[in-house]
Amino acid sequence: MPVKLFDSELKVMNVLWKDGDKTAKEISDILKAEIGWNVNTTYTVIKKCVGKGAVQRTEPNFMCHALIPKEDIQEAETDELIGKLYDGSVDKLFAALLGRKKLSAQQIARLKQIVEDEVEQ
Amino acid sequence: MSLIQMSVSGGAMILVIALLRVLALYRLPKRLFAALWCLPLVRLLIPFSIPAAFSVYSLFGRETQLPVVTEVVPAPAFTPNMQVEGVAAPVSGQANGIPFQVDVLLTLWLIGALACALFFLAAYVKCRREFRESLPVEDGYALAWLQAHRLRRTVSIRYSDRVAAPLTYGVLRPVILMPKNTDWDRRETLDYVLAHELAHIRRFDTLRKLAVTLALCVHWFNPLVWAMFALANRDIELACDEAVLRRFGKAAKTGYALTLIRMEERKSGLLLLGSHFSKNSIDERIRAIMKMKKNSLATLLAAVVLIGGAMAFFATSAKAENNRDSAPQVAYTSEEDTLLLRDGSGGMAYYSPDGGETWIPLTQEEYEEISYAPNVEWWTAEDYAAWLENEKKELESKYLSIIGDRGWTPSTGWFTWTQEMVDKTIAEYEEILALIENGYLVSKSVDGSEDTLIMSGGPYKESFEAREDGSMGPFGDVDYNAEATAAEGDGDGPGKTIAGRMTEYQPYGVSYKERGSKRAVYYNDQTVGSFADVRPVGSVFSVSSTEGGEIDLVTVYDRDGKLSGVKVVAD
Repeated sequence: MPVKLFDSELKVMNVLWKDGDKTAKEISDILKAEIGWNVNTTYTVIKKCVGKGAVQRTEPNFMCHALIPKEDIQEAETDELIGKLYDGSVDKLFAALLGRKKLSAQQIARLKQIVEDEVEQ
Repeated sequence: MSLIQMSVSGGAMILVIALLRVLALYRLPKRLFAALWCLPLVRLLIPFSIPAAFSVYSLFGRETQLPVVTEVVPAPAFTPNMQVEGVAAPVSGQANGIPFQVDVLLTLWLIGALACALFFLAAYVKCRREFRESLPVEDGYALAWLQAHRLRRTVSIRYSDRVAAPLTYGVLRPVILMPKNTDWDRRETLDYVLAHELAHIRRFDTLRKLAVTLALCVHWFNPLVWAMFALANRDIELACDEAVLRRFGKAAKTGYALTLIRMEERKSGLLLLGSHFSKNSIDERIRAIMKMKKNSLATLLAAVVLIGGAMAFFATSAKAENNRDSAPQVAYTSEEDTLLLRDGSGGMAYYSPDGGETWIPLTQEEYEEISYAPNVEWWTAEDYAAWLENEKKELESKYLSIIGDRGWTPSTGWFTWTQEMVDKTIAEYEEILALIENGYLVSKSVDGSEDTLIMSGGPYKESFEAREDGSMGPFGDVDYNAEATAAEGDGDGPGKTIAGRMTEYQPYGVSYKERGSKRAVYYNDQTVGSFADVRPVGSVFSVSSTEGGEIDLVTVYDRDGKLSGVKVVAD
């Protein structure tokens, strides 16, 4: 069961998921430009990720590697969302998604395809 | 201006404002209250008499060194006509020897103040650490809003999954921090919230809260200041609510109130320096919002009158206090003709040696030296006898343990207790009891401290005279001698004359001559103006030459408390 990550930690994970392994220094440079964190803040968050087992640290250079794949987190968060707000029922979430905006014909076709693929399995 | 004084008068102001609040909170502009709170804040944080502010001890209205009450009249050849000593007060207390005055009150205050400061500091640091990990808000509407409300300082909006309600932090680069679950599409709510936070930023509320917190740390012992902490913070919120409504107009009242209620439901946790409110205060806010009226001319005038009145009231009460501090004082002396007058407006002090006929101006230092009028509590014979009995019991029971212990007095430094000294001490006290019974005045406490002993009265009063050259001294008359021997008895038996006593110092080169009513002390062919035997245990025995002298002499004791010589007092 993947650990619970705060938004700040997810930001760090995103960098690793998107750009692969990076040193802590590189991560802090990227985030400084993106969200204005100073170097100390980034290092603190990275260390928290390491503590939670989401990031692996290797020397030299404080190289960071994402231990948990993005999909795992997505799944965990979605489960939590369904559980919290949709009474644990997936179809309710599905219906809600459909009801939110008008879907284009393309989107509907794609969704149909996904469902059919699932059913086949 | 002592800390206690500041606290008390600040507390009085707080009471007045709190009362006003109870009576008319909803009828007056809230900005008024936020401004009013500045008055007690200033009073609590800034001591008005600036010179006193520099001495920490003057905060408690005390002198730093163990007080030795000096002579009152500024004449150089003056002999103390009252005996003053820095006694090793109740023997049991100083047996283990603490060489400096550890002021208990000061220590207690320091502990309390540091504890408060630490608490607030820790909370603040924890909050700021969390805020650092906040993320910037990218919503278009929010960014547009920022552009529309530019200030000299750069304001930014960020969000965090760690805060439950909007708050604002930072003074130079303010940040509005929104909770993660903010619905950025609910534009009306957003407008209200952002406007409220912007009002905080504009009014530098972070600094106001800091000042209030500082006052609380310094005056932690005063419950009224705690009340101010709670009320002032609430009024800061109310003033911002008022600012929002003034901007949006009366019609926005309901919408704004509902927004507050909705946000309150989602809040949890304790935010000390952000926007913080409890059940009571949210009620107060809603009520204040719903009851808010447009400021009519009448309320505006009332506000001006109130602020003006309050300031005048506090200013005059402060002035009255200052005047009280510097009221004309009579110098402490057993010579009743001496008068001191301080002219308030010019700040000049004058001294009259002849009961008001002539006035001599004094410099500030001279004035301060002689205007010290201690608050003395005198012993009654019964009380002293009872105290003495108690001391004897204590001394005799501690007999075995105190001998060999080290003691300390300011006059001799460190010494070791011996059997002799214990007996000597008890005998001293018996002498003093005899004096009290004969009508002498012996102080129980001076300014609340038992470390100074003042003795006066009896023949000393009558034996006072001004000489032709303007200096003052005691009469060298027979009465004085006779009484002096009784007073100076130190366990060697009464009836020792001064001449007899002075023989003790002959081995060290000190000689003494009496001619009729005049007396003179000599040291190796020089005349001694003032000779003082400052004993480690007991009183100071001193003799002065009637016609003054070239030098002043003082005795020297070794570590065992034995007389080892004399030395000239350097200027």
